Amino acid sequence: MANPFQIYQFLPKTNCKECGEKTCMAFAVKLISQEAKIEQCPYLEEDKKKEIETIVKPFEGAEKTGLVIHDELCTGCGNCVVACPVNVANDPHGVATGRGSKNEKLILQVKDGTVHACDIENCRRFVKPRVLCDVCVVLCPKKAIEFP
Amino acid sequence: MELICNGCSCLCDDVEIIGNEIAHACRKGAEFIRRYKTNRLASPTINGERVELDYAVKSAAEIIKKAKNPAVLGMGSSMLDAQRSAVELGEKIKATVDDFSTHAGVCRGILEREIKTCTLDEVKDNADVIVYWASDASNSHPRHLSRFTYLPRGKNRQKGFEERDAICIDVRESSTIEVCRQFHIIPPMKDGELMKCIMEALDGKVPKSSFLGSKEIIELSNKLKKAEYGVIFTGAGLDGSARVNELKEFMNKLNAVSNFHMIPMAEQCNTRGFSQVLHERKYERTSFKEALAKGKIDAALVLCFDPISEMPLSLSRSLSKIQTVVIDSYKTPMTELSKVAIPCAVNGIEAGGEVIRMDGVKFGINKIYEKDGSIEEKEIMKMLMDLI
Repeated sequence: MANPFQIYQFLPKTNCKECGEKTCMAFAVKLISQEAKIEQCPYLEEDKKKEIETIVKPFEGAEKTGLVIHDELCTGCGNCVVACPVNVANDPHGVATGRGSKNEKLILQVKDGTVHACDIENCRRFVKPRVLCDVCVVLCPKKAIEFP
Repeated sequence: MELICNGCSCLCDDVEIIGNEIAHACRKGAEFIRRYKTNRLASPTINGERVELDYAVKSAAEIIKKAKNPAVLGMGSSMLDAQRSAVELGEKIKATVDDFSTHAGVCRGILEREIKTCTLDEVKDNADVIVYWASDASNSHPRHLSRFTYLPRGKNRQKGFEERDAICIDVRESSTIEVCRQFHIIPPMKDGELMKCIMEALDGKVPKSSFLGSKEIIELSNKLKKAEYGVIFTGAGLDGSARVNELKEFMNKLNAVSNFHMIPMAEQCNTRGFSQVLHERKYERTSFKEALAKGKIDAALVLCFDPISEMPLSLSRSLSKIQTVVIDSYKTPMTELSKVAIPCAVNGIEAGGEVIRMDGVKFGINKIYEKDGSIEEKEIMKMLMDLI
């Protein structure tokens, strides 16, 4: 999973502020969250630009709801449901303690033996400021959850 | 209404049926509840021919009475009442009683208070080091990690998995290894050797192992040593390669420097309950497979279990040659091969009762749906007992 440091190493690191951001690091963060464009940096060389583009490209498709659940792989273990930070914040005494819950604000829920995305618009990846959270992907034993 | 799922020995008590939807249950539990009507055993049969229930029970009683060396098998998914009467019957006819459990030794050690144990709720509240030894919980007990051990937030572990270490020791890269932060892959049947190496490392010696580096074992033993509240979940693979005495020695050694508990990952919903029943009645579990291989068994009563899918072909052949009575809800290879087959209501769905979770906590299960015509297992057992 890409992080701002990977992009930062290709940037000029001069903090010239010409892109509109205070530092090159801040620019790297904005690039990942799709809030800035590579062209805003005037000092980038072509090869470095291409490197950054390959890092940022997977996130272009994740504009709204890029979550993919492979139904045939999912065992309904609920690891993603219990680990999701938004689920925990919305239902600290239910889902956070491992129990099933009827809370309507849950992003992921287990229904009929498999995980279903419910309130995906509130996922940390889609609400500003965007956070590249991938807890559900990392803790899935079957690799049934994917963000393109 | 919240109900208890008895698809495995996690006995999740937060499952709900809302309309046609089964909420919060894992795939295993949801399918167990949804498909309870498929592949059912329709009516009592003798040699594959339909007969009346009374006649079938009478023939079953005769087979058991005539047998010189009978056996009583299965009972892993039976309710406690049925298990008690089955063990009572076993005592009466001096039968070989076996449930094919791979946790018999650990359960016995726990019940005799030689191995320290705790409940799954205590694990959730306190555990900081969780070891899955020879167990692939993500497949066998899908909700185990998310509901009781690694992921949930407990009283003293408010950050959930961020505050816990999950260590997996297995012979292959299982699904559980994908979730656990650390894992050690060891060759089959080497669990006893690994225990010895860890004990040496705990003593401050440099362990020598044929399959793991000394540094890796020392790191593992240091992690176990530093645990505030550790739990080892023993899987089916451990019982075969490490003897119970080795396990007890290992736990005693570990508990001298740390605080470790052991819970067996019982396979079926009431496997732990059966161990408890045997312990209560002080009846010994004897190996059915060994007795069958030696040709010592001449009849078997099988309760809600399919030994054919658990045994090697040679033993299955021997089993098909002896007279068998099966009480089961579903059609299995065993019911097809048996002399007498008697259908019963599905335990946990059409019939309620008491079950014991893998950590020894007793639960009362209510039936979910009304049964259509079939009789409960405990009633059939009672009819059999009266005749014998």
